[in-house]
Amino acid sequence: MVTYNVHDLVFFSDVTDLTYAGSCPDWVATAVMRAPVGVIRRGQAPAGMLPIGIRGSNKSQRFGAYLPVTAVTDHLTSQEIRHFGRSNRQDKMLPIWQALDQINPYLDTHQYDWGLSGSAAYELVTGIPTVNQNSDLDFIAFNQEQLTPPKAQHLLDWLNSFGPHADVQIMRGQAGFSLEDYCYHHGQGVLVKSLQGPYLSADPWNE
Amino acid sequence: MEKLTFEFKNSQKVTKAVHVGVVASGDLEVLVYPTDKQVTSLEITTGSDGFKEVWGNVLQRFFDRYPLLADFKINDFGATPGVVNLRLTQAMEALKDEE
Repeated sequence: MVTYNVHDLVFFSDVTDLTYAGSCPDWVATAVMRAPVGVIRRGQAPAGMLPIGIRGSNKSQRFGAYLPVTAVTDHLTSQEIRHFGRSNRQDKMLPIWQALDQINPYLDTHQYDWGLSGSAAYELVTGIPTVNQNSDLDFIAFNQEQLTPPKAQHLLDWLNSFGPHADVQIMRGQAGFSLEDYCYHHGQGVLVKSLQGPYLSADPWNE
Repeated sequence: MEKLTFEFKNSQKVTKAVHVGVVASGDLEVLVYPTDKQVTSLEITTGSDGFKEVWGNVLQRFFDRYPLLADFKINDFGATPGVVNLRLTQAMEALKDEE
């Protein structure tokens, strides 16, 4: 049985595969025609459906829909996407790609079970120009052993030393929290995004 | 990228600056500063355009409960209203802790 994780990408055939509440903005059909792909969202979905997000050509264009599992034609985990080849990179000189090329060997050598999401993941997979000079590098950390705040800070400083802002989401089951939030606000309240909704936790590693 | 501004007539003076939240997808930073003005002003920078009305509703609901008089700067990275509300409440709690 296939396991779908939040931030994985799923491919389907066309816009008629999608189910949604309310109305569908015009740009969705165009986006799906260009790349019939959605990112698995965190959220509840009807039985047999996956909650997915469709990305439009600009940052404010995001649309939440449901996709029947039976309509999935291909599935890429965020870990697979982190290892995706370079051929789809549109502007190969952008700092985000240079940063990724320096970070990836370290993660692999040390066997970090990390994935890639966000705009970089979308461009790597679709070849549609999505990242720019200001794009963040969004990592998704699975099976990450608990880090003390100084160790977390050290790791985050290193990840951020290549230019682009690096965002690491630590996964605990289908819930996740930001490593940066943990560094700054451990002991106070770290935002945990769970399937049931967001909440604050003093000890997000052990929820 | 869109810049939104709001003003609210609030009464509860804030005496310290606080910072909650982070720069991360689906999250936001909330910075609260004491003010000498008689109104609460908010400057919101958001990557998600076209949500002014949603922001207005979330803020109105929050300030109805906690009429904080302060200058707010918010940097939003596509947070849902639930996350916005949680971060605002966290800022309010942080202000209480420091009194």
